[in-house]
Amino acid sequence: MTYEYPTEYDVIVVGGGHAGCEAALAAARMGCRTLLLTINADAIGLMSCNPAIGGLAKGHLVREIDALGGEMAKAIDATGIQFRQLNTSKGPAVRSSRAQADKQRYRLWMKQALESVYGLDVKQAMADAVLVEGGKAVGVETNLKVRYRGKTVVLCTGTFLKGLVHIGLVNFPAGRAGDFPSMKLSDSLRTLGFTVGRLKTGTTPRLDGKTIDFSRTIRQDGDAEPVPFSFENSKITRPQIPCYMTYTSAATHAAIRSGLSRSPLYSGVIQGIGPRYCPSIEDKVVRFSEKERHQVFLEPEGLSTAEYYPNGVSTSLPYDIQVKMLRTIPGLERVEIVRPGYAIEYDFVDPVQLHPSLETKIVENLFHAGQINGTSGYEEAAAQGIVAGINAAGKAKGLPPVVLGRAEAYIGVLIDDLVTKGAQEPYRMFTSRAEYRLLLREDNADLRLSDTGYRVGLLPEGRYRQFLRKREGLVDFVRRLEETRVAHDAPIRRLAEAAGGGPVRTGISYAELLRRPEVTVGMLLSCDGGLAAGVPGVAQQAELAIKYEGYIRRQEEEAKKIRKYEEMRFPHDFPFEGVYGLSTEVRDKLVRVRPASIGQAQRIPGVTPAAVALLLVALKKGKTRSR
Amino acid sequence: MEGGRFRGESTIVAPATPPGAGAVSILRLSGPDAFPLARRLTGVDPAAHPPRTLSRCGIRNASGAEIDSGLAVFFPEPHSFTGEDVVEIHLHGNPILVEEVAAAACALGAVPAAPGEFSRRAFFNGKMDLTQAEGLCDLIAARTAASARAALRQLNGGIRAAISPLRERIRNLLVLLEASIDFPEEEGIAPISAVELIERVSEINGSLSRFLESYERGHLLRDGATVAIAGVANVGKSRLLNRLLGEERAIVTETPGTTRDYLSGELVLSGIPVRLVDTAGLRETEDPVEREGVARSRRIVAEADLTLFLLDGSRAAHDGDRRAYDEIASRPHLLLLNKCDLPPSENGGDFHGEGKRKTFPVSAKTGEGTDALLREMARELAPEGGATLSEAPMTRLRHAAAVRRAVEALSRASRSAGEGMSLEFPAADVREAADALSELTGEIAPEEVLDAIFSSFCIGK
Repeated sequence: MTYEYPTEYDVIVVGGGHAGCEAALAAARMGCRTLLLTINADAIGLMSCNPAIGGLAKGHLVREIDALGGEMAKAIDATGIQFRQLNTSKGPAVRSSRAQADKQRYRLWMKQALESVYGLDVKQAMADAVLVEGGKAVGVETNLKVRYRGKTVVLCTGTFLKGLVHIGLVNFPAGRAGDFPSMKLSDSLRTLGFTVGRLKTGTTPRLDGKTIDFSRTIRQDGDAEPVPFSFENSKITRPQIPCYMTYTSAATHAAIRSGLSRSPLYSGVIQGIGPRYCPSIEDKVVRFSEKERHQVFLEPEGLSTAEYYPNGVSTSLPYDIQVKMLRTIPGLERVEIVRPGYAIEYDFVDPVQLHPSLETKIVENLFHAGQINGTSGYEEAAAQGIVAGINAAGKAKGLPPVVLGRAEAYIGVLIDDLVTKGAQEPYRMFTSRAEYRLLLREDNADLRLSDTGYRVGLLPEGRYRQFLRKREGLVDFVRRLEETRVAHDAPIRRLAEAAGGGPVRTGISYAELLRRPEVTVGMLLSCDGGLAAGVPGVAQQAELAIKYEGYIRRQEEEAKKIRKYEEMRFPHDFPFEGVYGLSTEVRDKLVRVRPASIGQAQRIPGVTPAAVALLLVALKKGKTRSR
Repeated sequence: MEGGRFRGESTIVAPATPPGAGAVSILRLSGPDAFPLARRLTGVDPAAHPPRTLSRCGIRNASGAEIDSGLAVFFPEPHSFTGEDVVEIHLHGNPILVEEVAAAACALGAVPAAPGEFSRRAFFNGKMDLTQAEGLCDLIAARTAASARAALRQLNGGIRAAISPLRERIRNLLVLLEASIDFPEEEGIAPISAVELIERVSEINGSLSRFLESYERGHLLRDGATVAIAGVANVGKSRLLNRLLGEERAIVTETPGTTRDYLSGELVLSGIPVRLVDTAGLRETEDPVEREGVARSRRIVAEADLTLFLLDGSRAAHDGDRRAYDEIASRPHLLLLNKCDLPPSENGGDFHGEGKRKTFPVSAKTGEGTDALLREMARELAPEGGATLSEAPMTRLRHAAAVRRAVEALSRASRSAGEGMSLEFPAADVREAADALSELTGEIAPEEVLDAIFSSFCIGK
């Protein structure tokens, strides 16, 4: 017999990982009665793999989540134990933040964040089915036959859908090593008509730190001045600890080769497709056999544990080979494994079945976020989670969906790629995926997204006011740079000339001076005490805006050009099947994706410019007819 | 449309009349800058003239020189074909003039219209109703098939062969840049240095610039060439036309001056569509009709890419021949001795003193010498003959504009790298160059770059 739970929720989130947490927090903070169901309440916000947040392009995502009013940046700022800026030798657009997290503290921070929101219930339960009435999701049913009713449902199931863990030729069902899998939910989705596929990912063994000889490794410290992720934090106070680096050797590779016959990857046991950018060590050794060694980073899992995460040796080789292989690595000669590395296969739902709002096209009021959409990475998951949370809450309240553009946010690039191209392998963000990379910087995530975060009711009033002050400060500072002229006896003249680049004319503006490659805003500030920007970060942003004005303007113009195509929307019931003149191949692609706009249609691989022209004609005809 | 009027950011320009010589050609401009642009080209102030009426004007090229006199007509938005500000400039029907004025418009900021772009804008601005849209749909479908075949022909042997290696080099450069940016901590990915970047860019740009030069010859392949047949009356011009076209087109009689108007026909030489035009005999005459014909003949000759000047080889040349020859002597031409089936009395020796041009004995009557003549015509029109085709010259202003955009973007990349700007800036330029070339050969998706990175480098800690 089933138990109808008496509370009717606005939003039900299934899954308490990085996507689920952001989704539930967003919905609840927007005032929705929210339920989060998790298989294991001790695993909320758990980092199943690498104990780190951020990285190239991922740091961008974290800051965007923060600018919208999400939690991830605040969580890592509070629990980070080593912060680093990556790509500092490169320019402002591709600089990214990364931090090692204290894994347990991070998890607890996230759990507390959920627990501290009124109107948000966290329950340990296993969802078995999405309840659908009249084509609309109306709740979920758990394995205990409890029915929770909700206006919207957000699925953030991670690797749990029919999760199958592989260690050598041994395999067993698990959502993650040590957790129950969800064996029924993906069947419920199949029954509803979704195309469900299978992906694979993997993780490294965890090592006992007291059995590692760090003297044989290279110590790597974080930045002396850690830079926080969240726009609301000005500094990191927690003590920072080092990581260590070592290398595999010829002996390691020989050990790995000796185990390949029992590798689930090479013996064909694993069917799911794994990520190319995050290959297992056996994959690296086989595919790049000419490489004599591979880097291994030993990353602490926290301040209160001796466990280390050996970044670079993700593996699903048999346990004995894992021991043998690791002990050939300098520093790990006597290492003890706490938990073995493993591969995991899991079900995902082809994301072309989603609207850009992350609502499914097949079942109204049902949203998907995170690995269920074929992505990998905590940041990618959280980014989708916050969008799904905002849109599920919006749907419950009768608001239009929030869709971020490709020129507006990496989150926009991420979701558009997913819903347009689907996922052939676990999808990870890279800066090269963004056409407008110079516009999408970590430093200006707040400028790009705070208005949206505030408008939907997620970014708190105080944060928004702080942001407005910064924006005004920026405008004012740029104006002053443009209006202030270099006087005949100004010290900046000597300084700029000493930096190279020829004589400085009297009377040119600071802005003009700043366009010279060798002149920095720091030089101007040091020479002119009256210039001070007041609000932190403003001077650097003004410098970027001025120094790279030509590039930024070109990308903005390009972005504007494509925007009009995004605004040409297909009605929901647009008959792609019946568009005159399309080739069968193109028609099939359009029918599969059902693009929301001409712009999205253009980005579907294989859709030709001629096909787009036909779509334009058909779209126009449809509109005329409906008048 | 609900979203209000569609506005192109750019002002586009293209001929509205088919290529080739004719009485009048129309160049059309549409977009926000169409009026100020046309004012620069014609000197006509759109504000001072009533809309939709013709204004007499001089027409200038990019350097401001007046090159034609014609008419301009202004259609202020929304009462125009595209719904934007539209200007039509009516020139004399010479493709060279049209090209020159289009180039001048581009120099002033217009861009060559993509195929169907006027219609596209018209469509977006609601200037077409349902039936027109249906018609357009058929039109687009038909043209796609035709242009697909044409494009395929070009792609198979042509532009693709030339552009692909360059595109490949740009892509490889992009792979190096993106790998340095996205995977800075991976071993085995050495960040590309500014010096290396600049070196690679300049190599690619060198090849692109050479390719750009081929446009000069290449557009003949698309727009075709005009070859005039000139000479005094009764030297056999009409018969030669017929012989070369292999069909009876002109009225052939023995009476001088029979051909009062020019006649023309098409043939294909080394892949170049050639319009062969028979002119009335170049001679002074009292007959007003014939005089008009002679005047037109002169214009044809003046505009032709090549003139075949005929002498009657069976009689000694006279002053009329010499005067007629003087009129065309400064134009590219071939000297023909017709009627070589008859006993020769003239070898053309006086006609090309220092130039030492070869003469071509032909017989329009028997066909003798016409093969050699056709071969020489092909050589004259496309100096590198077969090589021109295998190198696949660019044939359209649009091609040239795309390659030019790539060259400019790469130059910017080089400059930025030289100034010490970090990699993502030149990377943006290199990507723009890749995009520009993609317009000619197909997409470079970000996935393609990532695929190349994954297959060439061991990525992943």
